[in-house]
Amino acid sequence: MWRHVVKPWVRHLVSGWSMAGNSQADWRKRCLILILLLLTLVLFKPHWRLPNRVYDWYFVVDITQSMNVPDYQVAGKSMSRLQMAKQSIRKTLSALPCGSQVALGMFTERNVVNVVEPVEVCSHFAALDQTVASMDWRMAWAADSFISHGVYHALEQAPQLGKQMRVMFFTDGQQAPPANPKYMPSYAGKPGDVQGYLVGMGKPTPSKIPKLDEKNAVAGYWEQEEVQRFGNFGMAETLSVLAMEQGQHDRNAGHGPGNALLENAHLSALDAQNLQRLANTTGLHFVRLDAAAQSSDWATGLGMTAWRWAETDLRPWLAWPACVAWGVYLALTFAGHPWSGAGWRAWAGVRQWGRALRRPGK
Amino acid sequence: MWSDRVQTLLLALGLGEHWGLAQAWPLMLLPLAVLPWLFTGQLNFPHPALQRLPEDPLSTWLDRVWKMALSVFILALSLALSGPYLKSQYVEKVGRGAHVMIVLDRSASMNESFVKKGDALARVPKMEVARSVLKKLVAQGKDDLMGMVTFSTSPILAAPLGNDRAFVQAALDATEAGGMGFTAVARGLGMALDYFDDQPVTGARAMVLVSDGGAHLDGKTQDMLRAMFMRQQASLYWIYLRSESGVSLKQSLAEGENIDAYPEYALHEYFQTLNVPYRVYEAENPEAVMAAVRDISKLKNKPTRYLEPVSRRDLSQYAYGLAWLAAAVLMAMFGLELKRWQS
Repeated sequence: MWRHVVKPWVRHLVSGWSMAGNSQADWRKRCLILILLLLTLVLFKPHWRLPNRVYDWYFVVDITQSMNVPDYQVAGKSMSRLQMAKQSIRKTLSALPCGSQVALGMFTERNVVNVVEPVEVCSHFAALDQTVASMDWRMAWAADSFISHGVYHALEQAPQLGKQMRVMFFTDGQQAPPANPKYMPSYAGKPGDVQGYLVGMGKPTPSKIPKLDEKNAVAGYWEQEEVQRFGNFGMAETLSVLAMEQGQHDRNAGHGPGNALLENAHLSALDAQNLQRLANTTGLHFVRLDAAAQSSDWATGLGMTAWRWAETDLRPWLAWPACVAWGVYLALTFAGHPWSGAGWRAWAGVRQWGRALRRPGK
Repeated sequence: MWSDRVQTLLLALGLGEHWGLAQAWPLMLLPLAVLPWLFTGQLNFPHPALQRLPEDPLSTWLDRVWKMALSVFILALSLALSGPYLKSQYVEKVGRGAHVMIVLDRSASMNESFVKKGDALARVPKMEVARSVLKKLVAQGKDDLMGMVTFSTSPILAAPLGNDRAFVQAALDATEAGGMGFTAVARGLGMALDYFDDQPVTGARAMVLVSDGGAHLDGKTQDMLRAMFMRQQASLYWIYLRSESGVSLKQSLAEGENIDAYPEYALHEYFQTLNVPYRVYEAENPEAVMAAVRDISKLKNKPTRYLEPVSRRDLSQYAYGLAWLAAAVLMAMFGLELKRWQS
């Protein structure tokens, strides 16, 4: 078997290699050698420190109770806004390229608590993933939800966390209790100082806010009588007798958005208008989240890139020349094909042009 | 309708859910794979009568294999360049050392210093001290699994129990005192104890409570917490950052003093009834806290296996390997080619 089959074949192979052919065969041989050389290098997974396209994100999640509203539908099951936000962040974490930095924060009341300073996403993936998964509305240290304060606070924190830190703020925009517009903070920075997204969660149609018991089962819903339906902060608008005669009760009524009690303070919907206004003042992009996978596209979008030196995979840099060599090999092999006539004429034209360039006098 | 079908197909294949592509545009090279099957016109040698040549099935097959290798090469490379990866994989790890959960108070009082008077050096905020001490603890004992819960009114998981030290350090850096004045010790401890729930008891489990004051626990909470400690078999280390005006836990209360006026003392009394190893480190200055760090770093454990999620797993190496194989086949086939007519 060995003597009669394998040996002549091997001899044939070797002789085929060493045999001198025409120049076409030589070039084809060189292409193949180049391809095999490049791909052999690729097998060793070469990498090098190069400036790399990465993304730095500060993910902030609103953990107020309105985020418990289950107005998302995923595969036939309802899902709360908070769960959806968490799932989006976890998906984004796995979509971010290595070398990206991620910080996490939670919002409730008037400020954002930074849970983790920026860490590299690949080497700390497990911890980041679990920390996001454990985010819970129970971690809220107070029950108010002053969304403008929260967004401004997050934007204040971002530059301290990193120079190129972008902010992705997941919220439904719910303001509770109603705020007095005269006492709202103004944004200290310039619009666009910090890039990022204001991600609107939920549906624009109002839904009841569930009360969850110890096992996160719905124990009831917030009723109109149970929530504060007026803002109670700040001075009264007027102190005139006329106003009082017309029904203003400075002591008992709210001074916030008018004297009328809000009808729907116990309901929650995506407050797109408010979020759009916040987005305009801060320069963030306001987007509505419909599916969890969307946020990873936003996070790796063009405007959000941060360039940093990082270990870069060199395999594509070797694979592309291999592709080109494959193309040359193919073209040379099928040089006799009728289509290739046009190609050869074009090549001859290029060569002539090149010669003319080299010898401009003649 | 067509795009709907593609969508359904992709969904069934699990794109986005289980795997993904780093970039899709290199897939544009895929159609190139048909080129070897379209073209003819390889190097040929004139022969007067083709009809007289016998059919050579071996050559036909060799030709097919060669074309396949050409196609497979470009298919594999375009796939490799688009960077396929698997999402959210789990890897098994072996952990030794103790399981340590840090429970850190971040209520507003932690912003105050140990002493009211004195120079700036002596008036370091307690939070600062706690942070530097805990950083030393985290830096020690490479084998320990660590996690952290911070609490004021409510507990927040800052770092899950795991061997990611740098993450705990980052979480410590982020911790700022500034919650409300309320100190929910029980909820903090409860949350931290919950993290031992999924893991088998393999040895030392330690809770490191760092706080500057106590809180009164009602009877129901006391019983619940006691049961949790018993079940998880966790020992408790309390680093009590005592301020100048605070009560010392070392001396017993004077006769006739009301214990309810000293929540720290009440908490200390309660911790002693937990039936788990309990030690208190009373630190009125930064140095004293180091004793606690030394004790905790001595804890040891049996090796345990646990699953840890890892970020995307790159699959492109397999495609590169396939392309390499195809290139090797092409190389071998080149040797078989006839370069000159020989009879």
